[in-house]
Amino acid sequence: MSFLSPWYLLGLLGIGIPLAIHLIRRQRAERVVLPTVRFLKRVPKKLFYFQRIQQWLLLVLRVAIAGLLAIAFARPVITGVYAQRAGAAPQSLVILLDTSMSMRYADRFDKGKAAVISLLRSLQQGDEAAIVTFADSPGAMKPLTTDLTALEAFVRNIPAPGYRATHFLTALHLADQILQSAHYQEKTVVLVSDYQRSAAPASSGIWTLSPGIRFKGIKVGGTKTSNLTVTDVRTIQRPAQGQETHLIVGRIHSLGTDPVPEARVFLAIDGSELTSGPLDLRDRSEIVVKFPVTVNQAGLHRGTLTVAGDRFEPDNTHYFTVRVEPPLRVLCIKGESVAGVADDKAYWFRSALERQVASPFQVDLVDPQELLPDALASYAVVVLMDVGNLAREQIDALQSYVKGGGGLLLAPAGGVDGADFNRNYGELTPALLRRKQVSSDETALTITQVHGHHSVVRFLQNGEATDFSAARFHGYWRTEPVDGSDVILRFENGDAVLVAKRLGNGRVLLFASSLDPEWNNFPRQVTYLPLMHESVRYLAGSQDQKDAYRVGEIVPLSVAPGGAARVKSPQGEETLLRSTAADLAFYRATDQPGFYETRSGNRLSGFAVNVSARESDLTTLALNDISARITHSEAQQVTSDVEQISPLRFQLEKSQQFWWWILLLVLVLGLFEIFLANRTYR
Amino acid sequence: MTMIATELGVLDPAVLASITDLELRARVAVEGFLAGLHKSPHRGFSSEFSDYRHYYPGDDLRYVDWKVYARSGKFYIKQFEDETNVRCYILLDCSASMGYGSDTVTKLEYARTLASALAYFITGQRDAVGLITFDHKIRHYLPSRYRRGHLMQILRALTETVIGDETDILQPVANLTHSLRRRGLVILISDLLDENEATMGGLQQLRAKGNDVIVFHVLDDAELTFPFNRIADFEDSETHEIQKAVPQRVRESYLQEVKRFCDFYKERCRAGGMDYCRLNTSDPLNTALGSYLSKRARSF
Repeated sequence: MSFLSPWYLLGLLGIGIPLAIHLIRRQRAERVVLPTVRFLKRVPKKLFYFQRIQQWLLLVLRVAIAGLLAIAFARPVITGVYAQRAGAAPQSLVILLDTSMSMRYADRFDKGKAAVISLLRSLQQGDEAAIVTFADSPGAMKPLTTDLTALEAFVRNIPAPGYRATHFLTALHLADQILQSAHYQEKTVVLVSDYQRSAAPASSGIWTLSPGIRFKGIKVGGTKTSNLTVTDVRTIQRPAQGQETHLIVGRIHSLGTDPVPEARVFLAIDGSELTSGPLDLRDRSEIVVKFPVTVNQAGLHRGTLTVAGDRFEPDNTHYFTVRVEPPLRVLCIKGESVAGVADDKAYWFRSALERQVASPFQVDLVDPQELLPDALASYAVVVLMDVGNLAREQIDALQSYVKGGGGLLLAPAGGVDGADFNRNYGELTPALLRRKQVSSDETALTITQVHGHHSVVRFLQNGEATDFSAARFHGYWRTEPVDGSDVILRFENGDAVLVAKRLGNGRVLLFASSLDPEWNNFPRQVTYLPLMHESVRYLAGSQDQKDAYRVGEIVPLSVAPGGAARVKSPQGEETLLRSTAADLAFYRATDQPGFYETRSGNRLSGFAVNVSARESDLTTLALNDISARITHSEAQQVTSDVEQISPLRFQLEKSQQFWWWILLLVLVLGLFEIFLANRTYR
Repeated sequence: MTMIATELGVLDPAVLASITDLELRARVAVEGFLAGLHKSPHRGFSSEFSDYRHYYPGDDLRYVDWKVYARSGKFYIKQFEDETNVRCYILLDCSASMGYGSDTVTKLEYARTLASALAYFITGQRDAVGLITFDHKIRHYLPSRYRRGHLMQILRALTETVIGDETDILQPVANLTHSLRRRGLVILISDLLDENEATMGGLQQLRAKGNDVIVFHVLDDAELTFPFNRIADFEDSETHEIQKAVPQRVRESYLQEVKRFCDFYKERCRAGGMDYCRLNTSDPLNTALGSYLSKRARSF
């Protein structure tokens, strides 16, 4: 036992008061001379014994009252457990419990919870602990507390693991932060997990726990695993022009330690199983399967590729979509060709879009005077290639077309007069033309600045094209972007090359140079084709949404300004999303693999969500490895027990509140003392 | 007795105690008591020789028979046979316990007043009166006489009586028993705080020789009621033994013991043909004088 306010123990000197009174009374008891004392001596002895007992009892009561009052004010705390530690300092722990998908394997999660509970029960009273569940990010959490019973109850109520991947670092980082505010110097992070190799930091030195924080690993689950998973499915899609055969290519991995002798694979489209077959993965870890599929109807079709035969089902089904849509129709209005460059000004652009098998684009070429306003509605994108003048009614039709949701690509080159362009397309263009810049090849400019977040250039992140450094521009229009426009590409001198703008429900892009080799060699560069594809898709509004995501990934949804979108999860839960300023809404609840249905206005679409292929890899890491990677080498400093115990004693005192009971006892003793004193001395 | 008490009113012991002259105090007491009573007839007086007895300190040297002394070398007192009917001896206990008084009047003071009043009264009745004061031994001895000046000797002896030591009632009673040749009246004034059986045995022997015995049992009011409230060390006035006690816890038992003590003397005296009168020092003296007069009237 210890005391929070030990100086009040000086009040124990108050015990001397009743003692002194008792002794003084005894010494100074009134002496009465009485001749008949002999009759007193004949009084039964038990009366005197009882009387003496009463006096001693009174003394004891008064001493107890004085002593208990002093003890109550000193705020006692039972800290015997610390004394029992015999040098074992109290500790602060943060227990990280893995709730990623891999913990669904066999009874790993149950073992993990049991390990945590066992650990909690092994703690001494006074130790403090926090519990954090985690997968790819920290989940449910119970902050540092000494209430081990509450922690145990918390652990028991942790729901079964989901489908998310495992990342140790984020959880470890949080544990490190929690332990910064711990009461004790003895700080430990306990990581209860199956220790997937993919979850650990790649190497040591990336990040380590703070100095003085120890790491303890508890590994659950055995080393023998059996797991098949479909890591990827790709569809070689063709535009819907009849009954085309689409090729479904699936990549299947055996990621466990044990081979799966009798594995099978099943393919289903729109809920109907189309085909199945055996898999021979006895002597290999990966196999690619291909299934030709004929889809009759245009639209978005849902497919699943499922493997069976292993002991871990959550990652056995891969969800994918087969989007069968007609080709995007592009109307290209070309200006006059420049002699010596190419007869057809639209040759390169058209080649980029159409020169492939089953191209998703269909390009129609017209001269400016052939443009019929009524024909615009049948095209997803209109391209004005070096066209500076159109008839007024054509321009008005073009404006209505764009505001109604159409896409317009402006590519002014040498055949355009800047003033005319600005006058005719001033409302449409994302940038006004200021000056024509044409120089020799030796002083050509290159594109160096890329607005990497814009969807038009998102392809650069996929590694399909490196950059624009090979493209040389010796001629371009110096422009002045209008308000509300985005500059996607810039030259090294800062001048804009590609500028985007939204107008009504439509989109407009301005490419400030030629789309043929008139002013540059860009059409001959590898980045030309993807940039054109993405630009057209952007203008057509068809590239906003991917068809497949990973569990936990945030899904951006294109929503009309002021509009909303509904997302229906595989479990049937609907979520209403409002558009943001960027006409996008973000759906975050991709916790379950499966198909998610989206509805924005009248447009019905969807996307597939699959578990992370990394999470399916059940190979594990040795505890020593992870410990070495994240533990700081600096030796921890341990202060004295008293310093460590002090803050906790206040917590313990709050829960114990012995002073209250002692005061209550004092009250009872006081009442008894009054009663007894009245009987004794009255 | 009842008639006398109601007619005489109260002779307050405290008032009497304030009178320092013992003779005057005795006179006030007796005459106050006798007011309204018929005076007793005066009887004749003579001093015929009747016997010898051993000399005791305090005896009048005029009655020493010098001739016997010349022959035997021992003092003998000549005893004369009075003509009165009664020879009275007043035995006054002056032990330490008699010095107790919870109020202004101690038991000894009360007893002294009573003894002087009785002596005055007896003398007024032309009876011979003697006095023995004692504690554990006889302190004064005045033989029973009826003659001029004897009363003054008794009163002087009473005045000079001081508080003594422990009580031994048996000794004076035994001496008196042996020395009395004629039957008489023995008045014992004491708190009787002695060995009960021995004391009672001595009195019974005295009674057995034909003497009338009146026992005035003088007790203080505090001894009878034990009015104490606070825990105290109670000290015996003779043995100086100390007994710590919480009054309220022992009162009941104490009072039972006192009652048993008083009842012992009362019953044994009644059984032995002796008069027993318990006096509270807060009681008026008429109770005691009335008791004597009643006995005197019945016996002589």
